[in-house]
Amino acid sequence: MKSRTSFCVAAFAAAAVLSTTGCNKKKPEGGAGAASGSSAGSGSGSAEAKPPADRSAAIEKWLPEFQPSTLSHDQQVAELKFFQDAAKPFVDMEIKVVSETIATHIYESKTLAKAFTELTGIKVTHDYIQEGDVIEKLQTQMQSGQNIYDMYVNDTDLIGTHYRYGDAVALSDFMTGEGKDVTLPTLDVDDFIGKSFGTAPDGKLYQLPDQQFANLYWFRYDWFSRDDLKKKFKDKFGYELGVPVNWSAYEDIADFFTNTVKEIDGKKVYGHMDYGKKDPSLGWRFTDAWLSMAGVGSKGLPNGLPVDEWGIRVEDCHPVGSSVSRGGEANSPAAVYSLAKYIEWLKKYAPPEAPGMTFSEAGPVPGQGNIAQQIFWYSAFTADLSKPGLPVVNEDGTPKWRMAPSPHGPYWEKGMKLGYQDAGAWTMLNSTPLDRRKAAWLYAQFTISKTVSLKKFFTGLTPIRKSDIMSDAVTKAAPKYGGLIEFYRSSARELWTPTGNNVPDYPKLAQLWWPNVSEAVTGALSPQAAMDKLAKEMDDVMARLERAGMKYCAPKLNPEKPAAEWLGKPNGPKAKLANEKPKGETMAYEKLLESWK
Amino acid sequence: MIEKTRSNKAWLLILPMTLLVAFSAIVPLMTVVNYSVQDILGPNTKVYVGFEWFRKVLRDPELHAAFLRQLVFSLSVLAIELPLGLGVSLIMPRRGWAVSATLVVLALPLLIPWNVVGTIWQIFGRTDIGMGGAALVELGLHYNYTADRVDAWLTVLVMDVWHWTPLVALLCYSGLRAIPPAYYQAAAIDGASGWSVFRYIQLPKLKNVLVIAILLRFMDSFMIYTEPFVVTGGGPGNSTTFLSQFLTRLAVGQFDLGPAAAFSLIYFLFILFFCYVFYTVMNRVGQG
Repeated sequence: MKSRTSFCVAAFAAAAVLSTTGCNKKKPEGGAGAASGSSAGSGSGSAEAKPPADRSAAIEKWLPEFQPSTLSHDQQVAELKFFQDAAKPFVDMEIKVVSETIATHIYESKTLAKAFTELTGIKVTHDYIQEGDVIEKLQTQMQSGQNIYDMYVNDTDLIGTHYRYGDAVALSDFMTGEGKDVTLPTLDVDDFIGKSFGTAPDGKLYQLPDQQFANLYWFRYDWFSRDDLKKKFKDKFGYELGVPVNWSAYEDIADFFTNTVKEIDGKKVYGHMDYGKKDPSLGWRFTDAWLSMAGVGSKGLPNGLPVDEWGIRVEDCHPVGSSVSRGGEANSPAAVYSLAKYIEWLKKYAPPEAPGMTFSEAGPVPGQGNIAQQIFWYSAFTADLSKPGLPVVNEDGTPKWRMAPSPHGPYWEKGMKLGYQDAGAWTMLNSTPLDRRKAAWLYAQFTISKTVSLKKFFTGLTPIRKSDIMSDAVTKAAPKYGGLIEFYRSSARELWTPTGNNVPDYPKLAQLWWPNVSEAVTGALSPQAAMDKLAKEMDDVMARLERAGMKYCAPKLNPEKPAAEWLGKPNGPKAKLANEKPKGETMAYEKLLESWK
Repeated sequence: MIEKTRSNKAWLLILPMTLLVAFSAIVPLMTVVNYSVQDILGPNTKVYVGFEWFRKVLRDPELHAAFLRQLVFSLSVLAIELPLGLGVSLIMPRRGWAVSATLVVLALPLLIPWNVVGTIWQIFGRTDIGMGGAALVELGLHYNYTADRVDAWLTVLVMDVWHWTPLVALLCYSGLRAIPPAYYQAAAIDGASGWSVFRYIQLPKLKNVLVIAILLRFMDSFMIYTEPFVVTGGGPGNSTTFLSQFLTRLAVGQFDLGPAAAFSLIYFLFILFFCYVFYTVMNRVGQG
């Protein structure tokens, strides 16, 4: 009997997955009940109890939770009162929203959803699931037209996708049009530091950030401050041990700790940490701006134009190719250099287990106390690495580490982006019925309102508002966060941006990266061959998008030309440098902080 | 003589099952067929592409390699697990408390969820914190399944043997227990050797059980996904990337429904073909 069952499993497991998107008809009154957020690291929060009838009492009940705040007591009350009034037509409606599993969203799910339900009577279920699952749900809704979630906290990496497919609601239109009556007057969109990330080429806002974190350089400040190590380093390399400004210095420091210092306090130490397991998270290691750090792409913020950090070239908002032969840069010398350095450092300077780790497995490793520096470190790990008792935390609770801007590769030029900023942003799809969109929009605004945003920042350390970052409460707490606040207060943060508008279909294109990178890691393909293959595969996908057509700015691939006709030309892919390892440059951390003021 | 009346009402009895099968199998299968001839990028963005995806899949060198890898893996699994399982079943106790104890111990790996099996071996094989990996390194072997293709391959194979050999052993054990004692008594009277008993009594009597074991292990190993996904993610490189991982990446990761549908149909036909071949060959061997 099992044999027959197994027959079915072979074909129909895949069929069942595929058939979830079988219906293309829009459901006029789609419910949110179809979604389930049950996967590893997932959960949901909702208020089961009937909301109290006297909702004015709920304001006073919840205000202590929303401290500190940049608003006065009366201003907070006014904002909460607005939510109560605007929510009246939707009382007892059950809405469902979803986000990835990070501390900020867990707080929203467990606390803010409950508060909002008690304040307004709208019953909110806020699921938190893995980022990949969020994209899967979103894709399913986009492909089927059936409402699964009423709003998504979706990374703005998909801005190019949302704009081109036309499935997402332009929030700027919604706020002045059909959603005007449910838009918080004090929302203050200009206060959001990531506003440009969710803005499409048409100038409209499609995604409004709910949380942000950056990809920065992390290092052991205590080790870098030791006189014996500083002297040893200078004797060997001829310049000071400090925050590396370029990749040459990073490499020298990595070599220094792994091969020269070797042990500190009797414990083996490493000058680099990374991850390399064949896993979708290996793709993030590259699509999250690694190539731009090396110097791939044109000048321009938040993303290079005409060529972005994925190596995709855009002309008049139409992607025209990623291969050098089409004017792109995905297989350019700079891109190949970035991959080669990643592999070289992983193998030469990282712990031997690192190649077998995923993003989430590698993340906590610096906290174990044997890593000197990490070039590609997500500030989302700040709270995890600040816990008392860790080998990287002093007895007074201050960290032994600091974060700083990432060093850049030899192809990088001033005016280019320098790192990645993850911006999980509220995203609304056209396929969600209007009344549900309105109710969900109220909840979304609540989670990013000035009333709660500062408290939320202290919970998850994922700042979204200038007003929060500049607040006195944040100034007071800054020493605990190892440079996070200083970074966000500096203009340097503008060089840290998410994937941008050049990428026409993020889910399809992002999935091409990790298998190719993985083959290069093992040596099955050379870095050049891997990037050539990747560039061709991206061009193939864009050719399909061109054939099928997109609502706006569909790809229009350039005809292929010999690479020499593009390389080194103005606004073209950069030609290979004669010297890819210039002299290392470092900067004292204190000097860096001064330069930010 | 009573004349039989013909009534078509009997068909109604199988209607529920027909509907169930239609919803659980035929409709999804037809949906997959429908998708396989289209390039689907959105609800309103579809292009009919004929057999483009089938051609692409059949010409993809990475899939050829994955297919070969899958085949070698499944044959290796059969080559190890069948004799090992059979051997274990032959030495298992036949009476007393030891029977229950052995059955429980053997069944343990089968009760563990597949993703947990993967996690166990992922940790077990690590050279820093894993007992197995660290022991091999202590013995002077350069073992690192995260970086070495052969080590990764062997780790996945050994994990599968650990996980599924008990199934073969239990099947064979049940087959052995079903052999009537009279056969053994006759063999004893004839003074048959242990090998002769195995060759002429036990093995022929186990034929049906072994057919089931071969089919089950072949199909399951040919569709293996969870364990290698957790342990190696299909790496290093593509060394442990099997067909199911390609399909998952296309269908779930990229949501590339057209190519994924074409691939899943081809995958299905492969399994169908191999199982038919195995079944036919085993039957003929049994009859011959």
